[in-house]
Amino acid sequence: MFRSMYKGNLPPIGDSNLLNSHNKNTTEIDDSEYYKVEWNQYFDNSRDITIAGTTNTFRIYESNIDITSGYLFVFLHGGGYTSLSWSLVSQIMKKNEKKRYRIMCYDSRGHGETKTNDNNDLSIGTLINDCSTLVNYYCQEILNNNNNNNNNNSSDEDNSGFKVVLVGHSLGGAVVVKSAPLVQNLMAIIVIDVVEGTALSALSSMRSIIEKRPRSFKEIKDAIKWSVTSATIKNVESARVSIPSQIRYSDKDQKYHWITDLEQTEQYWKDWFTGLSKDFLACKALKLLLLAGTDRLDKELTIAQMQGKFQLIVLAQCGHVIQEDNPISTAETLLEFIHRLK
Amino acid sequence: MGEFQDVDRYISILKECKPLLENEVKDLCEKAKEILSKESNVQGVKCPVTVCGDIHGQFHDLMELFKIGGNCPDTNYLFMGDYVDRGFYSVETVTLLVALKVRYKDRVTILRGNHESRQITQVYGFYDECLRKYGNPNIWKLFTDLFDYLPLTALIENQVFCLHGGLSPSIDTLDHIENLDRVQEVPHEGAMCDLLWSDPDERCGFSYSPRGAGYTFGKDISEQFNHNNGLTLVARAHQLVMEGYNWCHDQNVVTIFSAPNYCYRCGNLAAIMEIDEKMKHTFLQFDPAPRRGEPHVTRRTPDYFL
Repeated sequence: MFRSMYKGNLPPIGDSNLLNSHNKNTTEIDDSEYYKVEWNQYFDNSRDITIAGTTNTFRIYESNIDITSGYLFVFLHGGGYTSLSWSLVSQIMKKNEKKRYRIMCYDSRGHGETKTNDNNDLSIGTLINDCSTLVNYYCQEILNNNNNNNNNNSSDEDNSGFKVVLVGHSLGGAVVVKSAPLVQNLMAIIVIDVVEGTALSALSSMRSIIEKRPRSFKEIKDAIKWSVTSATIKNVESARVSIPSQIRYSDKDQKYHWITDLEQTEQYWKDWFTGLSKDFLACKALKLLLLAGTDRLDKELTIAQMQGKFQLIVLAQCGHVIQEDNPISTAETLLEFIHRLK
Repeated sequence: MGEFQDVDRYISILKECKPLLENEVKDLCEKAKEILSKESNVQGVKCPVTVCGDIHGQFHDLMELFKIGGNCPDTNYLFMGDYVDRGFYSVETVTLLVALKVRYKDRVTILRGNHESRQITQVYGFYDECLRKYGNPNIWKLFTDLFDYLPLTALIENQVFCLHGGLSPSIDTLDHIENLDRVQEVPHEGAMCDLLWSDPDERCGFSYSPRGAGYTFGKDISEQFNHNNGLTLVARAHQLVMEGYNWCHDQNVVTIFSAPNYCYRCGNLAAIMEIDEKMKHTFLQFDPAPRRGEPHVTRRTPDYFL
C-alpha cells in the first residue's frame, strides 16, 4: 500500500515529477491527439446482459474471462461516466500476469449503452437493486456454466464461485456501499473519491459545474479535447476511450450530446450520499477508501480512520476521476490491497 | 550555560509559534541526531514522567498540554510519536519537541510514530507545510532523516512499556525489539512497522489490521506479553479516543491521545497520563486551546462531480 501511495505522490518539486507516462501536459497536446479509441483495446469482451424477468439490458465489459473462480472485481462508474472510465485500470490489471483476477464493469441505468424500463429513474433504491441483482446474476451465470462444464468433463475445479470485490467511483462508490449487504460472497469494497460530508456540501455547486459543460459537440474529438483542456480528465489516453462513450450523435442537430442528462437527476442527488459514512463503516467487508486529497474526509470518517477502522490511500495530484487521471497507481493500489487479503 | 545558549534561544522563538531559520534547524537536528543515536530501541525512562500521545501539528494544544502538565523541565515528558501531519503547525511543533529533547535530554523522551516517516508526511501535510514555510523541501529532509534515529519504544521503571502503535506477531520479548535495526524509513511490514501501526482489538490473537499495515492484537496477546516481560501495562497512542484516554484488555493496555478536537473537527478530548514517583498514574484531560490568531482555513470545496 505504501508503494502505490508513494509512486502516486512524488514531491511536487518540479513539474516533471507530476507527470506519469500517461499524463501529458495539456499545453503540449496537439489537436491531432484528441482521437477516439475503441474499448476493445482495453477489455477482452463486451456483451449485453438482460436480467431474467425484466426488460433491463445492461452493457458489460469483461476481462480475464477464462477465470471462473477466485476474485472478481466489479467496477461501478460515477454519475455521467460509463464503464469505459475503467479502461486503463482494467488494462493494467489484465497485464499483471502474476495476479490474475476476473474483471467486470457495467454501464449504470441511464448511462452508456445500458437500456432499461425507466432510464430516468436514478433513485438510490433502483441503483442498489440494479447493482446487487446484476452482480449476483453474473456470478451465478458463471457458476452454472462451470458446473455444467464440470459435469461434462468431470474435472474437479473450484465450484464455490467468485469472491466479489466491488469498486465504485463517486456515485458508483455510494452505490457500492449501499449495495454491499445485498451482494453475495462480498469480500471487500473499494470506494474512490466520495465521502458523504464533502459530497453533500459540494452538491450546491454541482449544478453550476454541470451548467459549465458544453451541451453538445460538433465532433467526438471536440468532446475529448474539452475534457482534457478543462482538466475534467487529466489523461488524454483515458479521455480517448472514456469520453466518446458518454456522448451520442443526434440527427436532429447533427451534434453529439451527453447521453446522461445529469440536470434531470438532481432530485436524487441528496439521497445518493446521505448516510454514506455510516453505511461505509457498518459494512462488514474489508474497506479501502481511495481519495484525491486528505481534506476530503468528513468528521465521521476522520474519527474512524484515526481509529484504524478502514484503509485510506490518498493519491495526490489527481482530480476527482482518480482511476482515469492516475490509472497506474490506482491499479497497483487495488492489486496490493487484494494481495494482502490472500 | 553557554552550551545551551543557542537552544534556549530556539525554544523561546518556537514557543511563540515562529519557525526557526533553515540553518538553525540544521544545527538543531545535528545535535538531536547525536543524542538520539545513543538511545536504545527500548529507551529506559525514570518516574515521575508524564506520558503523551499524538500531537499532529496542533501547536496551540501542545502549549495547552504544557500548561496542564507543567513546563519542561519541571515535568518530565515522554511523547509517543505523531508530532507532524494534519494540523497547521507541524513545523513549529516538531521543532519545539526536538529542541526540548536537545535541551533536556534526560527529562524529555520522544519516540517515533507512524507519521514520522518520509512516505506518510508526503501525503498528510508535513511535506507541504515545509514547502510552504521554507520554499524548499530541505527542512522536510532534515527532519525525516532525523526521524530514522527516534527510539521505537520506551520502558518506564521496567514496568510500563510505551510505544506508538502496538504489539507484533514477530516480537515476544523486549530483547527482540533491542535487536532491531531501527535507523531506516518505517518499513511496509515486519516488526518495526507493527510497533508503529498495530492496534488492540476485541478479537483474540493477531489479525491483519484494517488500516492496511500492522496488526490488531487481542487481550490474550497483551496479557501474555505483559506477563512474559514482567510488565504492568502497555501505554500506546495511535488511535483517536473520544475521552483522550481509553483502557482496554482488562487494564493491560491504555490508549492515550493528546490532540484535542483532532483535525479541528473531531470533537474529542485530549489526555496525558502522569506517573508519579510511586508509579501511580493519573489522567489529565483537556479541551482544545482557545484559538487566537490561527489562520481561518476554509476547506476547499472539492472539484466534485457526481
